[in-house]
Parts: sequence; structure tokens; C-alpha cells
Amino acid sequence: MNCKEFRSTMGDYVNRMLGRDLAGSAEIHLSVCPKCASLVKELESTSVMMRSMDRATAPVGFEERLKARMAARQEHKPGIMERLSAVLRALFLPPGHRLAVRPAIAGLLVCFVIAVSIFMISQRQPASEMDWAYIHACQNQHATFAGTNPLADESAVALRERVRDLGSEL
Amino acid sequence: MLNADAVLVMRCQEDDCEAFDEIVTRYKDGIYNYVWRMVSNREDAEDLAQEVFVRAFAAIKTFRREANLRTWLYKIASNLCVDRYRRAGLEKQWMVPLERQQNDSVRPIDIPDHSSDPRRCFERSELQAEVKKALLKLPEKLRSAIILFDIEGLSYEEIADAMGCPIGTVKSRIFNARMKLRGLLKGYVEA
Amino acid sequence: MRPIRLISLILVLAAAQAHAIDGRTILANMLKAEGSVAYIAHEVTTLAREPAVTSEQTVYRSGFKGSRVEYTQPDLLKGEIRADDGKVLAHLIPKDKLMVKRPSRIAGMREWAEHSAKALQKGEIEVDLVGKDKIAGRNAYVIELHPRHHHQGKRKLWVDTEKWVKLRTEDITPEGTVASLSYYTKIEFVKNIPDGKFHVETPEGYRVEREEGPIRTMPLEKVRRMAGFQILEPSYLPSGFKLAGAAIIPFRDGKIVSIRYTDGVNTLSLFQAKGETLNPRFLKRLHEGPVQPGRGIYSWRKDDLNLTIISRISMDDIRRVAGSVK
Repeated sequence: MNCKEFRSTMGDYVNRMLGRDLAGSAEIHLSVCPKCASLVKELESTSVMMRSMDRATAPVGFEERLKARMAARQEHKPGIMERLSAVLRALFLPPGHRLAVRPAIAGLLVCFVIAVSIFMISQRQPASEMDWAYIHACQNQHATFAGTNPLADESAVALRERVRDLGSEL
Repeated sequence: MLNADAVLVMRCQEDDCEAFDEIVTRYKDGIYNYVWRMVSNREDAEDLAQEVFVRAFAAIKTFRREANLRTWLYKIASNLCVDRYRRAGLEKQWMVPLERQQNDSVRPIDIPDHSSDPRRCFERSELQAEVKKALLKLPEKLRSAIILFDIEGLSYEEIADAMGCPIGTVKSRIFNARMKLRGLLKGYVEA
Repeated sequence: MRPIRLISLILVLAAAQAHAIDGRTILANMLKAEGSVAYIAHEVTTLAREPAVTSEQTVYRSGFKGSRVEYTQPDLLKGEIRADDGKVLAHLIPKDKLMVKRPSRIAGMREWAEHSAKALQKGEIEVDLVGKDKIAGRNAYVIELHPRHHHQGKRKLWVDTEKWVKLRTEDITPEGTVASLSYYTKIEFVKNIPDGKFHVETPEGYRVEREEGPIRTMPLEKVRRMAGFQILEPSYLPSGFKLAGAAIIPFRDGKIVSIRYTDGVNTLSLFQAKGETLNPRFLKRLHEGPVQPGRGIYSWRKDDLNLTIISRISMDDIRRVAGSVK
């Protein structure tokens, strides 16, 4: 195996995803090629660093808050598509009471309506509903106001702002 | 024979709410860890992680039992992260939003301040902080691929499924991510 | 008792009385010293969180003229400088090759100090002398202060007995725990600090970010005229809270109006902006009901305005204030 051949498998080698035969050839190449060996060592150390990262766990109360969030979503008033979907389902999918003449067409239509409804619901539920830039601007202004008070601990106000900026890095 | 996840999905599809609770318990940490590594702050991470499960719940009835539940959840998470970057333009804002909580209920409730959460479990050492910073400098698709592979332990196939791309693309994203990390962490990589 | 002994006793008692000092006098002297004393100090600041976050910094202060803070710990903050020359607070962040320019904080401090001194005179701030201590090798009076009308938390200050400078500050929660503390480990009083010390040039290759906003608050009437929309005000404020001023902050293509209230110790800001200034998702969310984006932050919608309160007072009080806004 030469350098060019090795480099085409280097990713899999570092990821320990090479088959036994190829891995063997790769090892042989690395034993005689210090340049590839050095690069592999560096890439492997990125893998080691990544794998040694602490794993975060979901915060306490996550499930309770999730339930509350899901309950709130359930209260959401059905939109036109949802209502239409419900009506069509009622018209075409009642158990065993409808005309047998149009089951295939009715089924396709219902699937289409349901698919569109799900798509539109998902589009109406964006990941975040906060305007963080606005909230942040307000927080900065308030910190300026609060930190200007000679009776306040200006250093603590400043540190608190910095901690917010850096999130969990600090 | 059905695996444990498939059984849970089946129960969910039969309106067994406890089954979905179990899915959340089983996967919340992995999903949370992934989105936290993607967006770098706990409050956004919780918001996104919760949204993953809300969407999963909304779509569980149409989920094929034989498909991989875990991959599906990461797929939702990955799409939400992409969506967030695209819509919010987060990478363009110089200040990442700070103490944040979100509660979707109509009545406001007192949301605990997670910045003083006594159950913090985040990295302390300088190296971990540097790796975290370097990760955030990676383009989001490379970051996603390497987090899913190295930290979440997904296979190439599972990542391909989660990210909606061919396996070859997954391999190249992971490789390119490693090359970039190698450059960003020059003082820390062993040569 | 012999007359001479009686006279001596009276003289001693009179001398003792002359040297007796109370909390209010100490605080009044401290507020005066804020504007007149110059010093260089090493400071430690700790925020009570889990785990606690501690920073160390070198502080340069020259009354209300300027201040400069150079972080030395932790590593993540090392090298950062915050320099306030009375016009701009420049925050240099070498790690990110970033310079953030914000409105000055020290510029408003004179006004605040005067406001606090008045509040003290009127008895709106209660101050107790609780002891004596030694900080950074200097003798200090220890005083505790809180607004007269309520105990939404208090401050404990260690005040230099000679120079009347704050040597240590503790922010204490209503539950009696310390939320944050800062203290000097070393302090050197100087005649003067050169003006250049409070100014930081932007190094080459650094990105500059500017945060808009006025240096000083304006009278509410002026802000009402400049706002471009009808400003709402609360009819309820917790006891002791008074209007401290207002400000207009340019934001996106519109404005955020900020009205500020204080009881001398605690602060409350009420922000309001027209709907189109904010992003549509947040607007939609506010239509559904009030939102609490974080601790001490409460947002809601009224008429066609979006309002936000930020304060460290209790959530009940915040909601009550919000409910009274019209």
C-alpha cells in the first residue's frame, strides 16, 4: 500500500472501521511511512479528545417540562388543514360504514391530506419561539442600569454578564 | 422478534402514553448531549431537545416499527439544529443568547435558572473547553457528523440515515472534521 | 464623686459620643468617596452557583472619571479588559479577537450616587452598622443595608474607615444566602490615574461590535416625545420604588423604550417595543400568553406593544407590576 492508497482509507483507519485485511496493509504502511504515521497519530488524538468529552445529561425536570409543553401543544386550536383532515377522515374512514366503491381513491386522498397536515403542523412549530437578540438587548440595558448603582457589586454584575456570554464554558 | 424500541413504538401507536415516557427516559440524555454539543448552551439545548420529542410524539403513529427509533430521533434533532441555524442566523450573532428557558404553556410558570443548576455536569478542564470551542468553529454539518460518530457512537449507516446523506458523505464529513480539529487544536494534538 | 473626676468622665463620654458613627453616616461618606477617590486594587469576585464562578481582576478606579478592569483569572477571562472612560465602555476580548463597545456605566454613576444619597436622607434605605473588620489590610466598618419598605434581599458592605471606599460587597438573597461577593485583597490609593488608562485602542485584526444605547437616562417626558408610540406605565410598583429615568435603545429598524425604577438598592427595568421590531415567532408566542425567558425576566403583550420586565425582585411582584401596566 502506498501513501495515496493509504490516504483513501485513512478516515476508516482512524475510525477503526477498516476490515482486517486492509487494516493489516495500513499498519504495514504506517510502520514504514513516518509522514502518514504522524498524521494518523494527530487524527487519532482528535478522536480520543472527542470521545473523552464529558457527556451532558438532560437537566432535572426535563420530562415534566416536556409534558407541560406537549400539553400546551395539544390545546392548540386546530387549523383549517387539521379540521379538513378530520372531516375527510370522518367522511371516508369510518369503520366499515362507507361505500366500498371508492376505497382506493378515498385512501389516497386521506393519506395526502394527513401528510400535508403533518407537514404544515411541523412548519408551524419552530424550534425556538424566543427573540433572543431582543431579550439579550434588554438584559444588557438592565445590567448597565443595575451595574451603575454605586450600592451594587459592579464586578459581580459584569461577571454575571460574562458568564451568560460564555454559557457552560466558565 | 421485535426489539425493545419496536415494542415501545408499537405501544405508543396503540395510545399507551407510558410507552412514550419510556422513550423519552431512554433517549433524553443522548439527544440532549447531541444538541448541546451543536448549540453550545444548555437553555437552547433543552429547548431543542424537548422539540425533538414533541415532534416525535406528533409523528409516532406513522413511524415504521422496523425502522431504527434511535436514528429517527437523531434525525429529528439534526434537522432541528439545521433549521435553527438557518432561521435564527445564530452564527452571525456575536453574542449567543444567555440564560434561557422556554416553557410553552399558556400560563407563565417560574422557570428555574439553570445557570445555577447544582447538577451541572459539564467539562472543567482547559482541554475540554478548547475542544468545545474548536467544535463550535466547525461548519455545522461536519460538527454534527463527528459528534454523532465520536460522542454518540452512531455507525456510518445510522449517521447517513440521521443526516439524510450517503455513507460516503458521512465518511468525508467525519474526516474533514478531524482535519479541521487537528488544525484548531494544534497545541493539544499528539504528533 | 469628686468634681474633677466627674468632669473627666463627662469629657470622656463626650469624646466617645463624638467618635460614635452610625450606618447612615458611613454609607453617606461612601457615596461621596465614590466620586473622589482614586485607587488601584486586586479584586476577587465570586458568583454563588453550582459550582461557584470566581474571577480575579486588577481594578483601576478614578472617581466618576473612569474605571478599568483587567481580568487575570480564570483562564477563560484572562487578558480581557473593560475600560470605561465616561463615554464608552470598551470590552476587549482577545480570545475572540473582539472589541465590544457599550454605553459607559461610570457616566451614570454620579447621578445614581446622588439619587442614593437622597434616598438615604429620606430614610428610604435602612443601614445598620453591624461590626468592624479588616479587608486588604485596612480597617473597615461593616454595614448592612436594605430598602425600608421590604426585604427583597440586602447588601452588606465593608467600608474603609479612612478613605470610605467599598472594600467588600456581599449581595444577600431574601433567604439569607450570599448570591455574590467581591472583595479587594490589595489596594493602593493614588492621587491620580492618567486618563489614558481608561481608554483601550482596538488592536489590528479585531472585530468591533457596538451595543447601542444612551449613556444617561432621560426624563420620561422626553422619551415619550421621541418614542413614536404611546408608552405604557405601571400603576403599581413595590413600596419604595421610584422612577429613575428612561431611555431609548435603537434596535433593528425600530426602538426599545426602557423605563427604569429603583428603590435605591433594587432595580427594575420595563422595556417596550412595537410588534414589528421583534421576530414573528416571538410575537406569536406572546399572543398566546406571557413568557418567562429566564429568571427575573417576564414578557407579555398589551395592545400592539411587547413589554418585558427585568428585575431581581420576586416574580409575584414582577407579575403585579406587569398587570398594572397601562
